[in-house]
Amino acid sequence: MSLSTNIGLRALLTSQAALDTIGHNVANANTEGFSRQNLLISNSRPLNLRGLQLGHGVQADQVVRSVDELLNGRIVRQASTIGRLDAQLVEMQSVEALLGEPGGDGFGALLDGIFESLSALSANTEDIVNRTGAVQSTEDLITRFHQVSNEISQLQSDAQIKAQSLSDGVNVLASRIVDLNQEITQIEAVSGTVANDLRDQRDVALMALAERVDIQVRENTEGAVQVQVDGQLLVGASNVHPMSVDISADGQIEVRLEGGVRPVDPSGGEIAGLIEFSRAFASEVGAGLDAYALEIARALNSAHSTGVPLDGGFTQLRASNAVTDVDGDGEVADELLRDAGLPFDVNTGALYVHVIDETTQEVRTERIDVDPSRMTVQGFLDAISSIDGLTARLDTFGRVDIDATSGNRFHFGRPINSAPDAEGTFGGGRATTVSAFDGPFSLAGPATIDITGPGGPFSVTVDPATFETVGEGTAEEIAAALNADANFTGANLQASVVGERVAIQTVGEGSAESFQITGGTALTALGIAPGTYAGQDLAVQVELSGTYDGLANDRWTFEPLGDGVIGTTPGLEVAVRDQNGAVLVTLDVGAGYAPGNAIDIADGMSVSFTVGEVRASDGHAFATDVIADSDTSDVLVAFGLNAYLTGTDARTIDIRDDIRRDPRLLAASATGAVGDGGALLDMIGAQSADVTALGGTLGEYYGEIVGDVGFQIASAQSAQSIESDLMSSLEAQREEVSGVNVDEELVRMIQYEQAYSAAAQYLQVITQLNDTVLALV
Amino acid sequence: MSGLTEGAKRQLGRLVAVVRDEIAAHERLDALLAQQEASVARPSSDAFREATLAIEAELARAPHRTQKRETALKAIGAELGVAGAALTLTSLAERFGAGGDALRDERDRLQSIALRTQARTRKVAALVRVHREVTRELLQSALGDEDEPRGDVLSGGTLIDAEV
Repeated sequence: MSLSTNIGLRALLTSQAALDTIGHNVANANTEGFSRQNLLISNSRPLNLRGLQLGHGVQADQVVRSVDELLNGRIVRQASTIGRLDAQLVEMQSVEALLGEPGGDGFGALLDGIFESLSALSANTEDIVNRTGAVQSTEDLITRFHQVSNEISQLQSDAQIKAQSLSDGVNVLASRIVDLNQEITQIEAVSGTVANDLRDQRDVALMALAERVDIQVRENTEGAVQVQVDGQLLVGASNVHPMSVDISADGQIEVRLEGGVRPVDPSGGEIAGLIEFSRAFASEVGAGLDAYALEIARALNSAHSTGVPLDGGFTQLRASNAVTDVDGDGEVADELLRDAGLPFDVNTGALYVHVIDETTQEVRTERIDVDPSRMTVQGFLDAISSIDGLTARLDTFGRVDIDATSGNRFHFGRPINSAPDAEGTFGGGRATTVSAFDGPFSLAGPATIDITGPGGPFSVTVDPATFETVGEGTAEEIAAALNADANFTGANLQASVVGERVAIQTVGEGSAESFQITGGTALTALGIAPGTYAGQDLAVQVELSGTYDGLANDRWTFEPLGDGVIGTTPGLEVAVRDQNGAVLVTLDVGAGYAPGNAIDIADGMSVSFTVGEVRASDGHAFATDVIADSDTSDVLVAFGLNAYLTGTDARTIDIRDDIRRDPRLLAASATGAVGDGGALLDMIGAQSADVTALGGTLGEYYGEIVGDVGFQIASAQSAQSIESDLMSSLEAQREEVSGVNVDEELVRMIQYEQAYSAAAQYLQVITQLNDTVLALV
Repeated sequence: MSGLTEGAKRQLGRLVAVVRDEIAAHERLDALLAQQEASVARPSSDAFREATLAIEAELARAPHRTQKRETALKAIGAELGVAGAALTLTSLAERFGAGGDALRDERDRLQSIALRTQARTRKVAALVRVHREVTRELLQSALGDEDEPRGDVLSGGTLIDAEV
């Protein structure tokens, strides 16, 4: 074949290749992931012919993809970012919808509903319809807690299932990439050409993979890519390490690659979004609702536990929360209260227990001092059981069980003792003397009180070695020591306690009753003055009334400031001291006071005195406890005694089952008095009270939960929008580099055609010119 | 040459100069054609465009050379008593005998370069034709059926070079 014919053939083949390339571009203009292809053309190697270097025309070297590998890598990473945000946002919005805020079905409205129903009940505490309404509104909140808690768990479970499904897709794509790796390396090794279309297909698969999980891609010299996830190999040159999704021991999504020594922790892609949602967002919202439920239970129980049910007290009460064997010694009762595995902390404080004689309606109040670092569960049970009329034990589940003996009831309210001077130590009928100051009383050694009674003189010895704190006796211990002396009781005398003071009295009443204290080594230490003490026929009756609205528990001691007759002796006054000995108020009960009339004391309390003689010289006094909080230790809340709500989180919170069945058990009263709704008011007060653990009120805390959910969703939406815009920009750049523009291809071809036509015109002229010249020659 | 008039000798010198001009023009044209041949597969390239424009410029000067050549032949024909259009460089060289050696040499050079240019023109024309056909085929496939391309001097078969 001649050289010129060969050149023409090469040109024809080259143009045919160009035709194929452009046609391929146009045909794939809308194919996902297709990169525009270009034909690379070069001059053919010249031929040596008869010593001459003759040009050999053009040749098509290869067809190459128009790709920017750096840009493609950036797009792959961006796909992971968007995949993560998309997956996360969808799930987050489900939680937002679940909370239903703002709206009537939200927690905020339901909690408000409880407080409204309690408020309605407080107006008529005996109304069984209102009681049922309060229980029902509480039931609505409980149901909502259970529903949302279950839904959040379900969303987490769904996220796990979705992640598993995505991992299946990951494995399919990984296998596809391995297949393409093998095809590409084979074709490129054999033919020496670039497998453009297969590389495009592999890029598409890598992109789809990146949407599911963030990947690191590295191409080896043979043209195969290796794909890693979190530093572990997913796709090797010729094999796949399949991905699996399981649930870890802590209930979270765990991703593993076959052969990997540790779980992988994707930071991008839909799987990462689902993990992040389940592990962080849903867990945080769930934990927030758990804390919310717990603090609602604590707040309502704190008020309810010291309330009194409609029947005026309990004959039997079982705790909701069980003690656990934290130290693992097989014994639960030996646990300290602070370490007993209870859901709420026990504080150092006092618990007031009131036992009511059902026959006489007499109320006995006992105070139990609680120190959770020193008192064991058994110690608490013993303290309850030491109260006359009550026994306490742990049931088989480790729950405290308190029973009243027959004929008694009990409660933990804050009743007013309307007859605070039951012993008559303040102008009562008995001959009386009371120590001049509060105990405890220091005694260095055995000390005596010399007394002359109806049977003659005798001496009582008090031995401080028998006291719990050696050398320092409480009023109770001194009184007990005196009452244990046969001579003392044989003389018809009795010792009792007035606040923290010791009173010595005759058993009988009336002006005929008397005794004489003649001396002894204990008198100074006990604040008892020697003298003769006589009873009186006209005893002073004391009556307290009102509702104590002071902020703290206190013990008020009433003592006359002189000797005189109530309502008669000019200037006769009674001082009221607080538990620190400070005078709260001085009451004028002398001439001008109408005996029996109530006199305001303080903090909503009043007192009245009937006619009778009171003597400061005899140490007349009486004391009474005024209770603002009958359980400052919160031991009732910790044990769940007389709880309104049981459970410790959103999933387990519930209304106490016996209250659900019998709303009469709702402890509305703070004092046990008919019509009193003090406990309800305390429960309502929880609505506006600051909760330390939540850093605000219940409403504010819930507002924070909702606000935080909204903020996080808004942030994710904003991030998604920004990342999507960036992705659009990157894709536009890719389109510029790799996309096929049919118009541009046609314009390019028209320009080719015009250039060839112009050249043809001149070539024709040259031919004619040459013909003329050759004719001339 | 002794029988020739002084005027004929003067006109012969002018003709030799005209022929040398023509030879130079053909050499430039041939170089431009070589450049176009090299870039024919890339019609959008600078080399192809520049070659085409340079050929256009070169051809613009051709009429002036033709006129000078015809004037020179007419003048020398008048001295010899022969019509200018009837003269060739070969016949003139023979008429001048030894005095026509210079013209004979230039005639040989002109013939050589004209033949080379003719061959290269045919090659480039063939390449351009093939490429233009391919391009038109592409356009037709992309844009659908259109009228057949207009016929021109380059359509149909073209002898490229039968001597190589």
